[in-house]
Amino acid sequence: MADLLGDLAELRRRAREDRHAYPFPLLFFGVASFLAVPLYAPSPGAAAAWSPLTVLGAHPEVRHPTLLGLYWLVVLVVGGLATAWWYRRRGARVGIETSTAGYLGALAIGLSAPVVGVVLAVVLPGHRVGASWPWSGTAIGLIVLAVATVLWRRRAPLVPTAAAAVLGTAVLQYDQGPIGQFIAIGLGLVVLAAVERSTRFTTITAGYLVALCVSAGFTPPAAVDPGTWSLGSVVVLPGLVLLVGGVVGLRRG
Amino acid sequence: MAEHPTASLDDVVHQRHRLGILTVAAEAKRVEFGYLRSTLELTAGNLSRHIAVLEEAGLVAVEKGYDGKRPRTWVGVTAAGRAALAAEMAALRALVERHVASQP
Repeated sequence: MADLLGDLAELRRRAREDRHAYPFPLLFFGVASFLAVPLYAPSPGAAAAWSPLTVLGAHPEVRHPTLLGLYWLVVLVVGGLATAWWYRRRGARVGIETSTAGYLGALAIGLSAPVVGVVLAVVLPGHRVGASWPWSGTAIGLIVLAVATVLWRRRAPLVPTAAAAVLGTAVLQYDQGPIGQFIAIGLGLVVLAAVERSTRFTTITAGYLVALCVSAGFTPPAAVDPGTWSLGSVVVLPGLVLLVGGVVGLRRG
Repeated sequence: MAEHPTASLDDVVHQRHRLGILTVAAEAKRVEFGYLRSTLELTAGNLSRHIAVLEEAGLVAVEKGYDGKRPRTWVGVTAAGRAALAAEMAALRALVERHVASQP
């Protein structure tokens, strides 16, 4: 009986190993992060006004914030669809396919931030939740997201779970606009890591989230001496973790 | 008195190869016939028979399609299949624990 349980555990381990395909999204978003650096050239004039795309990384101090916001929007949409295609293609090749429905759902939640952000901008004046009390929006967003995670793990009804996830993510992105695009990517990776059940991918995702917190902590609301690298530095750390994680995933198979 | 764990074993699920099919299928959205055959080291005919038993019991769903010109058969576990697998695993673990506890 113990032998049978051991054999089944080995089958499970092998199936999980065979269906892993996580290096692709890591490399895609990692490369896209570094390709975005030239778009962080500073604006010679005053900072741009808040726009819905500000919550997806459209830094108001860059020369073309709308272009930067659109770039990240396209990267998120194309990256999500390409990842789903990649998992399906790999599944067809190997013979065992991972579901990407949850991943696409998580990415869609991250992409809904500009719409929810418009409502938040009306309801919560000042354009940044944390303007009067720094990080308050981040704290609220994280708490609501934690509630959404508990609901998801307990298989609670879809509507309250999705509502909590959308609200928590949007508040977080609203308060952390410069890394809003990375929050959306991170949300997708967390769901993908849970579905893949890979220790290595979970570790890489945890490292990415830590890098995101560090990046957010070191991103000033207004750069003292704005330059392409000082504004674009926000993408370097999370982008580097994504690239290194993708390469490690490729090498280890 | 608590029911003996063997009472929870389901004849359809308990067969070693069918348990293997359910275990692998439960790990993914769907699994291809060829993958199951090589992983479980079964002949095509034997695997087909086991899948038919599981399908008849509503524990797996079979989907036939093409990859280019190549016919492919995909197997996905149903909600009932997941529940049956979880119950089977719990019964097996209970049996092992009972056996270990009864050792001097």
